[in-house]
Amino acid sequence: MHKFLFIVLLGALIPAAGCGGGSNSTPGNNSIAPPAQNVQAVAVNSGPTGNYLNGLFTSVTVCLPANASDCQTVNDVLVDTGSVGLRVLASAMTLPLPQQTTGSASPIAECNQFQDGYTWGPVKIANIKIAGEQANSVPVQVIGDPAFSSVPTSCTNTGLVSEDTLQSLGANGCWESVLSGRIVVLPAPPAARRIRGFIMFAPVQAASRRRKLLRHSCRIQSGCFPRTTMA
Amino acid sequence: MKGALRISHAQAYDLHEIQAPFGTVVREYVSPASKKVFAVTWQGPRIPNLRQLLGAYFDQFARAAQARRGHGPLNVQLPGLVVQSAGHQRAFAGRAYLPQELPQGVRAEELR
Repeated sequence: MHKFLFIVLLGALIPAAGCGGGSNSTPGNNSIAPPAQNVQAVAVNSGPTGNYLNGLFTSVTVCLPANASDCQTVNDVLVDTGSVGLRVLASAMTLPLPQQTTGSASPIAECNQFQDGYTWGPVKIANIKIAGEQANSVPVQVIGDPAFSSVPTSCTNTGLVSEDTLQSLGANGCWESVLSGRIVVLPAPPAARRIRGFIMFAPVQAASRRRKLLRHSCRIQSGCFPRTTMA
Repeated sequence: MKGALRISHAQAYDLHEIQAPFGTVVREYVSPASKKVFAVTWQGPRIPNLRQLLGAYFDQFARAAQARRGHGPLNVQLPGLVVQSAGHQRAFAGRAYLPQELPQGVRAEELR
């Protein structure tokens, strides 16, 4: 699948004259585009535990699939351009999401590898809302669920660190952003010393985009190997 | 690792290449003089079982990896052991080698 991801540092495009403290209507001000259906706000900072160097974070709304109005917003979710799906720490979840199961009704859990660690936990089903987009009944990994405290050795035998806690993950979850979305990072005014921006989804074919969101998330279900099932 | 083994010979080392069933290719570099493995590398969708690959060196690597803070590519440099891990989901690559055991003329960068 082609992935289109452009990180645009608008600061490089802004005429220098706009940065000199003139009126705030000059092209150099740092206002974020007005909210739109396809725009998701992000922030660049050190994350909720302060151990990220310029991490890109956003908020994701997670809802019960059976009751679309029963939702919670998870803040400080890392926008991870190199992974797939949505993964949320169990400690950040308040909704009782239903468990995904095998055909024989065994719960499904996943050992997910990153280059520097792993996440372990059950795969549950949720509706996900990001910007004006929504994907229904998609698999979500719930990381560090105490009900799945026994981590299989096939998951730990890389020797890499467990990223199953807020402290070790450095975020409340992670979400892959490559949904033909475009990340635009805006430098904040110097006084703020923060960078913010947004993710803009391609403003075409919302239905197709929703299918993509669904398909991406489904790769958690079908693409990650090995799946570990627990009896 | 229950994978297919392919052996090739180079001037400075023999190469044992194993493709694991989950797709990751593991290469072991063997010194022709000592017949010892001085490096292993991996590339593929999963990071392999490093406990199995590193053997006696696993524990000191794991201690260093666990002690690390922060995120990003892993580069463990210990006296007598280097382990590097990088990549992203479904596309990982890494190498582990014993710097003092590299045959003459072999550079770490060529271990892939």
